[in-house]
Amino acid sequence: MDRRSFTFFVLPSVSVMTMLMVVPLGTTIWLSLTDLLLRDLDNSSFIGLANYSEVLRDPAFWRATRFTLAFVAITVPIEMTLGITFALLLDRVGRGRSIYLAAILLPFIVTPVVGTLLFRNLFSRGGLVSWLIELVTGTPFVIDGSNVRFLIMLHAVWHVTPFAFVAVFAGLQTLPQERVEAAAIDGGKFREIFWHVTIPHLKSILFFVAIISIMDSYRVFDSVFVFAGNRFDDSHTLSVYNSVVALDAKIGRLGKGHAIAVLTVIGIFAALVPFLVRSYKEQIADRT
Amino acid sequence: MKARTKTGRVLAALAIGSLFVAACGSDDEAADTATEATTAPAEESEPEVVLASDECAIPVSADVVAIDVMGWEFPIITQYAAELKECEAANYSFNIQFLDSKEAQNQINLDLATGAPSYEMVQGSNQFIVELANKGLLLPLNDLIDKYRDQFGLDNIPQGMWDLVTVDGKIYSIPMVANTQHVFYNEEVLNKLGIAVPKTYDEAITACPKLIEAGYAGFEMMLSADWAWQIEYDNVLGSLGVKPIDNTTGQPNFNSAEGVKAAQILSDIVSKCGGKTIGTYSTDDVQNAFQTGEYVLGHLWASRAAAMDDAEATTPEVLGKVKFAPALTGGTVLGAPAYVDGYAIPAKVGVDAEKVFLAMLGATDDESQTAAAKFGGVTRSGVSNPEGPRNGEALNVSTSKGRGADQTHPAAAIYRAEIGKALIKILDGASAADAIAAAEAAYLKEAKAQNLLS
Repeated sequence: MDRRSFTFFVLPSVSVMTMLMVVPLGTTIWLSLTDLLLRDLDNSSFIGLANYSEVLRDPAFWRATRFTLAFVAITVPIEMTLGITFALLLDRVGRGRSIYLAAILLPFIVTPVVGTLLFRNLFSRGGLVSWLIELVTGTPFVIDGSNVRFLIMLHAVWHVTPFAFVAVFAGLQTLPQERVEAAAIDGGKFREIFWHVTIPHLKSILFFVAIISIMDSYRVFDSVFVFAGNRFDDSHTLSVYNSVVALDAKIGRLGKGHAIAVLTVIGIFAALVPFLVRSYKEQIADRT
Repeated sequence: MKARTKTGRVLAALAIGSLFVAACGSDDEAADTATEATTAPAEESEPEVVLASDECAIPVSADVVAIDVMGWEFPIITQYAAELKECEAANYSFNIQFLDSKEAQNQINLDLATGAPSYEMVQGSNQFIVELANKGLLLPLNDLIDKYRDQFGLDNIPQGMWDLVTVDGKIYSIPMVANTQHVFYNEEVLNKLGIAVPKTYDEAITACPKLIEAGYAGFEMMLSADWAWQIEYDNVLGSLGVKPIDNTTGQPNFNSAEGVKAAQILSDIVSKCGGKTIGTYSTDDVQNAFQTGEYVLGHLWASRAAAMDDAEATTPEVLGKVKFAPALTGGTVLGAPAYVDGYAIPAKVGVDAEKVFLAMLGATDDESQTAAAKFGGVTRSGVSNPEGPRNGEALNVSTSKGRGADQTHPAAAIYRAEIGKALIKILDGASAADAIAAAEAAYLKEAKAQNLLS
């Protein structure tokens, strides 16, 4: 294909990508260098890196960063482990498979905010779990600073595990049974077959699930916003911290909010680079 | 309902009659545009103005006026929303949306800040309206108020109410709800336990062990949201005679002996009265707890008093037994705010602002306020409803002897955000002094960053 044809074919997608990604990113970077306020959108001035300096000196930013990283580090492995486990179990089920499948997928189908509200209500005063705990201990369970982080993570695992499950389960359906049977005839135990046949087959799917889960967890917003609100600002993730700074009616620091957004993007990029480099190298190796 | 219709008809007839008289003696524009009743003959040189109905006595618009309204809901606001809907007879259509108060405020701020608001009308408290006005997001209504002052009897709203929604001489809303906070108590239970109705925060806290020992909740209030902490804190601090910030310079006054004492009183209410669950009750929950007898003593919005006589939602054992007393004090002033709620119009409203204003007038006139008075305090002098709540005296005393209006300095919004966020940590064990110090540091940092201090 000559250069002219190549340009002709890629121009539409490059234009759309530019409009939808490069322009917003450029605008975000520009606004992060201004003192733009929600209460005065018509007037802002260039203030250089002052917003970045303020954000990096803000304990709330580092608190949110720490919790975001902890959230990713704890929830993603659990979600993947449970997803693989459920997929392996369901793969062995013959009768009623569709019922189990629907039941496991249900948390993922529910609208995120609705699911979070339902989940929160279970643990709120008068909720089923709170009531059961009160029956046993005599004291009602209430969401407070000591347990809200645990509940946020528990909700994430409940909500996102079905995604890992369905991807892995789909991958298992493409696993050639001859390979599994051959390994079994050769005396392979379940664990050996799992590590040496199943996992290599699922490698690219697991990589995909990991990348998506990390990105989703890193930018988690709705569940944390619903659970933590302004009451538990120790449990804010970067996205929620950003919204509080930029969009709270009484604060409304849009310039600072854009600086937080830029730093968040840099953070996720840094977190994903090792994965992307490894993936690229493997693809090159596969081709050669 | 019959009484309401009859009253509405009488008021409408009076209004129409007075308008007709005014029209005959005046040739100004206001008189020209809205003078004729439905059945009144039009003068040859003037177009006939057709009023929509008795319930919404405003001119019928030639074109459909579509109005999106955003606000937050409590019983009397629900009634005012119904009054707006009555104005659909004037060729208006209303899409009225309610959110949680904090979310509604964020949503309205964002929408109005875009410069092309999707809401033609917003509803809120004087505190919120002043915050929007300080940002230049609301339309001053002075000219329209002057134009329709006589026709809609706007002088029936006391000047003090107007002052609450006025910034630098510009009026931004028509006050329609008069509100404050005061004490609710179950008289039978307090008499049984020999507890006098408290007049001070100390007396309320002292009563708690006896109440709890008898199996009741202690002295309770809504403390589950940061904004609620801010209002309750301002109540206590105001009762000690201190304004949280200087209304001229914005400099903080709250990190003082009185400021820490006020926070300590709230901390004591949590630890000695409310216990672990006090941070889990919304305003609706507190209201419901009184209606079911779970709460027998507490602090609540006056606008919730009517619900105590709602036979469908109040248990028979409690019905009629909840009484009302003025707000508490920690010093010399009652810890009660002077609040009004009203509708306002965005500065850059996308439709004819006068038509939106007329809808506001139609939904807040004497007839509408008479209907609304069944659910809470209204703003027009002489308007009442025999089926209204029994808290009139507590409301009036609390408002007239209370801490007054919230501050109007542009940095006050930041103060409210930061003090609420800091104080709510008391629920998780923070000390009063630490919370106040943290709030002051956060307030100064943010107010300086926004160049709002002088």
